[in-house]
Amino acid sequence: MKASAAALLAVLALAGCASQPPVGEVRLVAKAFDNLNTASQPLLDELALAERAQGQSAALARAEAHAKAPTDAAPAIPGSGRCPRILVLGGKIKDIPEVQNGFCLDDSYYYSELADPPGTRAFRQALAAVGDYTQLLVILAEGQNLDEAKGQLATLTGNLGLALSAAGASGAGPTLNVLLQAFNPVLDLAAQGSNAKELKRLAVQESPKVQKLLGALRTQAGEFFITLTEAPMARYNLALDKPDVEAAEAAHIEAYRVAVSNYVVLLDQYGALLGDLAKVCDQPKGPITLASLAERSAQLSAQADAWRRSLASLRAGLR
Amino acid sequence: MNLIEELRYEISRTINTLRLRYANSADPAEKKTITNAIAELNGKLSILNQASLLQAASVLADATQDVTAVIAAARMGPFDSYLADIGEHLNRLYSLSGEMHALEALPTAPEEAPGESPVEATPATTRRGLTRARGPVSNLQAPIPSKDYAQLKDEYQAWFNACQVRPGQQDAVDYYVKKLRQGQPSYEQVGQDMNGIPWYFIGVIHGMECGFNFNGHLHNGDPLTARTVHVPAGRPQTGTPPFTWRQSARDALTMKGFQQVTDWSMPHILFFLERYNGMGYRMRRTATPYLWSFSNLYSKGKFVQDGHFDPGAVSKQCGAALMLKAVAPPVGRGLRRRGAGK
Repeated sequence: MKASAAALLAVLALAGCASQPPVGEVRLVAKAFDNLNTASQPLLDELALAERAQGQSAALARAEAHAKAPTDAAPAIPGSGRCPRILVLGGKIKDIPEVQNGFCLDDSYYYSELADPPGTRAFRQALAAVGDYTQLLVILAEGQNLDEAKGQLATLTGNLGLALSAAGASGAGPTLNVLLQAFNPVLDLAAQGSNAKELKRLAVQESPKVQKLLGALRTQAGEFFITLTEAPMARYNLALDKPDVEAAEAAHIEAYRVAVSNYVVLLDQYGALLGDLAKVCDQPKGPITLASLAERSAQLSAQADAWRRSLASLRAGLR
Repeated sequence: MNLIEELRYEISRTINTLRLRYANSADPAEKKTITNAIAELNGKLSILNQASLLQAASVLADATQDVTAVIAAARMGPFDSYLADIGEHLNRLYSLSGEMHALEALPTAPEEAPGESPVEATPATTRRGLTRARGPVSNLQAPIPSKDYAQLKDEYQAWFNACQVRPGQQDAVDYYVKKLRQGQPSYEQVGQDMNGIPWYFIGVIHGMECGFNFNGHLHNGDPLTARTVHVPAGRPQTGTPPFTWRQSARDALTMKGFQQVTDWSMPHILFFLERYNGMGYRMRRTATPYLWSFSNLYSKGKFVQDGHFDPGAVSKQCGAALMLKAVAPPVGRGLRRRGAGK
């Protein structure tokens, strides 16, 4: 019995020696993500609108192509094979509008306004996953997960206490009660130590996966831009005798170039911030300090805020 | 550059060429043709752009899945490893607790203790058939020294009705009741397998004999890893160790023939339980702690390990009646139908 008590106390004592989570640093990184995310959402909303227009335009172009060519012919260009039996009717006769003769299930998310179309959804989910990861670090650093866990332990120890009080006459009760009392003072330390260990593992060992995701978001920014600018580019291409329209659409395209570039830069900065946090977790006494992290986080937040405001102006101009 | 990018590039170059031609042409028909061609190429670009965006989405989805897996695998229970360590200790402590309770289990109460003469088995009775001896409370008669259920039925009911928790023992009784409730699913399973033996009857025996320890035989608390060593030794006779608690419980209850019982009324349950421990107390006209300990109907007197009755010894185990009062169905406090009362 005494051996069991000693072993348990040793476990708890060891837990108490673990390092504390870098709460301040994690909060700064989380704040930076919040700003990045807040600033990105309007651009993603723009992307959703653009992707819907793109999907509808592509559907129409496919249906027009199907109306001209045999439907069982090999697709002329990648992506044109979708819904080959749907054709465009009318349109070539004056005053008769174009209409597609069927329903292409695969195009539903381009016509519905209830949900993001697939490309936008992937971008939004990717950013959300980065946010979830960051939030996970916050939960561990702040110990938000402790109450439930402590409740579990309290139940276990409570049940044991009842068992011991009922068996107190045997003489083992006092020893075990000492053991139970030893739980409480080290409980928080033990939990913090455990959280710090998991936080370090996530921030150091798992961060390459998050960096890879940020890298993918960055790499695919080109497609982001092409989709955003597809409609203005099409209008630009067709504004053959309208220099004012050409100029306006060119301005829109360039504004989007700036917006997406800002998005890329902020993604890079956030990636760097996460890298710094990993270094802090890995080497608490290293060169990265709370102050330097705070400076970079504040810089990112300010830039994200400025970007958000310029994007709002861009959107207002587009309406 | 992949195929889609090459196509987009060439289409864009074509549009540019057409735009230049448009600017240099004075022919309205040609201009209209160029406009239509550019509109059509815009449509082709839409298709290509869509395909390319979906490729990008696929790349993003793969990377997102990796991060989502990281999040899902994160260990959010800070005590997980401790719980495993502590759980091991607690299991051992619970087991020890069970052993402690088992140590307090009442030894069999022999009807004839060594070197002693039992009280006359046929008591002096009144014309109503009850003895004149007083019980622990004023309106109860002392236990009748009989083993005949028909004679004892009313006594059991009267004592059960009068039974109350002794002051200062409520916490201990609550503990026993809690343990009983914790084991209820296991007791119910066994009871259902055995013609509807009430779960609380099985649970009370488990508590009284084994301290609710599910690692021991219901017979006597010996470890399930082997056949019983103590009386009754060598149980279960069939099967191969280690036994499950359920197997052992079935064996113990079958050995006593409880699967054939149809009357599970409270007096009958109390009779079976008293008989399970032995009728020795009754033969001394003393309340058995097996039924009445921790209640107002029992204060002291118990058989000790060597089979002698010690009038000053006090049982440290909660009696069956208080547990039954807490968990048995209130109407009739017992069952006559098989399989009911779950």
